[in-house]
Formats: sequence, C-alpha cells, structure tokens
Amino acid sequence: MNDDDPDAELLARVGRGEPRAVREMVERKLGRLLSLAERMLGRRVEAEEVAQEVFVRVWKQAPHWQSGRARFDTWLHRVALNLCYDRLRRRREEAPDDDADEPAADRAEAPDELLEVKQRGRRVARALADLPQRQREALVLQYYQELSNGEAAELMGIGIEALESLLVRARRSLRARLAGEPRRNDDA
Amino acid sequence: MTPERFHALLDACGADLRRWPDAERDGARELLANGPGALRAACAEAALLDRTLDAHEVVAPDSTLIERIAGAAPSAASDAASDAATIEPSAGALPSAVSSARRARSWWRGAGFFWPRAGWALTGLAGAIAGALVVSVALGDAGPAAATDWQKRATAFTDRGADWSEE
Repeated sequence: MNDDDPDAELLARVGRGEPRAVREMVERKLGRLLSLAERMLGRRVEAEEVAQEVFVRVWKQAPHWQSGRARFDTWLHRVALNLCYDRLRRRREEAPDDDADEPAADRAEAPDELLEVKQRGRRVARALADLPQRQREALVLQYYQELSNGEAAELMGIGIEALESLLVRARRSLRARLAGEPRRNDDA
Repeated sequence: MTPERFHALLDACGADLRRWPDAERDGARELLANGPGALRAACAEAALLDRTLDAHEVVAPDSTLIERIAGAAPSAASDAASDAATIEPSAGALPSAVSSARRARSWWRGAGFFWPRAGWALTGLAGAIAGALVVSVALGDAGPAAATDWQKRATAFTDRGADWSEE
C-alpha cells in the first residue's frame, strides 16, 4: 500500500468491487475530472463523455493497480488528458476552422447578478479556449486543478522551468485578452 | 528569495501563495512582509487576474451522471458470478477460463456503460445462472475449496504486467 497516495485504500476497495467504494470514488473524482475536461475542451457534453470513459478505465484497472508506481490522481489526470487530446485532435481534423465554440454554458434566463457572473465566466472560458493548447493545459493543471508545479510538469512531460514559462505566457495572454475585451451585452 | 524570483513566480503562479512551490513559500512571505512595496502592488494586480480566472466555474455533476457512472462499474457479485460461471466446470481449464472470464467482464462493462438498464438486467440474469451453477457445485461434487472464494477469484489477474500508468 502506498502511504503517500490518499486514494490507495479507496482504490483497493473499488478493485474488490465494493459498491460503496465505487460510489465514493465517483463522488470524490467526478467533479475534478469534469473540471479538467470542460476547461480543456470547452464543451460540457464532451467533458461528461470523457469523465465516463475515464471511469470505465478505472473500473477495469482498479483490481490491477500497483501502489507506489504512480499516484492514482496523477494517473487519472493523465488518462483524462489523453482522452481530451484525442478529441481536440479529431476536432481539428474534422473541422479545422471550427475552433470558436461557444464555451460550455447555458443561455437560460437568469437574474442580473447571476447573469453578470455567467458572462464573466464565459469570457474567461473563451479566452482560455483561445490559448495555445500547451499553455491552456499548464494553466488548467496548475491553477484550476491545483496540482503542484512538479506534478503538472511531470504530467506534461516537461521540466519545471518550461512549465513556469508556459504559465507566464498563459497568464499574460489572458490578462491582455480579458483586459482588452469590452463587456458586451450580447454575451448572454 | 530575490525580488526577481518573486516576480517570476508571481507571473507564473498568481498571487495565492498556496499555488507556489512549497520550498519557496516561506521566502516569499518573508519578502512580501519586509521587501519593497512594489511587490505588494504587483501581488494585488496578480490577484485581480486570479479573481477573473475564478469566474470560470464548472458546474458540479448532477446525480444522474453520478448514478450512470457508478452503475457502469462491475459489482463484486456480478464479477464473481461471471468468474464462477466460466471457471467452475474444470479447474484444469483455468487459463482459457480466466481469459473467458475477462472477456465476459469486459462485455458486461461495455453493456453497463452504453446501456445501463440492459446492463443491469443482464447482470441479474448472469447472477441467476451463476447462482444455479454454484449451488449445483456445492451440492453435487467436491469442487475446489476455493469454489466460493470470490475474493481470490476477483484478484486472479493481478499479475497482469501492463504498465497502465502510461495509458
């Protein structure tokens, strides 16, 4: 058992097929996976599909997990990222110009305050979607997923200096983009 | 920590020191408290961007999605049932039986994932068939002592060598 991995015990129980553990694993990790996939893909529906695919792999692999080789959460992020890459690649191949998707958000009527928050979120989502993929990935892993710089760099297969460089460029681009973008009433 | 390093990390990680590398956090706090005021101004500016980024929220998963995903997981009972159904007839046929059991489980998983309702119904049917087999083994012959050792069967494939951490 890997004492450093906070998911190891739960994963072992999932591997033994304990229904309560399965449920607990979904509740513990689903939000995190959706957060990653939705910010990488910009589409809620696809993010949910990715999350489901990740869990299928979890169920399949849980009985074979070898503690100590990798943290489960890191592996989970790796699998989810690979699935996101596959979808982004397919998207580019199928419709190279179809990159300006409306970020995941509904257009339902909402009170003014809520609308304002949603609009701001949508502006950030659009700016995030416009970042080069590696910058977006670095920011999503380090900022939104709250992985350490070391974990994010390891997942991306780069050094920490390279990760910091990507983060700096990502944040500069976002600052410029978000500062320069007028607040439009037609955002809703 | 030098002011240059402070600015570099501020530009990369934002104003919340919890996102900074562990080893550099104390030095940053020290510098922030005792260093030039320009550092605090830069921090306030970075915090503005952080707050803007935080506006991009992801809606929490709803219970339907949670149920669908949890429902696609194989239960210990259905796994054991499919193992029992394939392995029981002959202990000597274990390798191919194991392979069959694995295929069977993959099939169940696929069914559960794409057609949750059908998956549950078929799982129930498999459970009934396997139950009948187990009862017949328990009553009819002196099958292997491990005939009902579900746990052991469920981990029969743990020596699979794939380095799936790279998946």
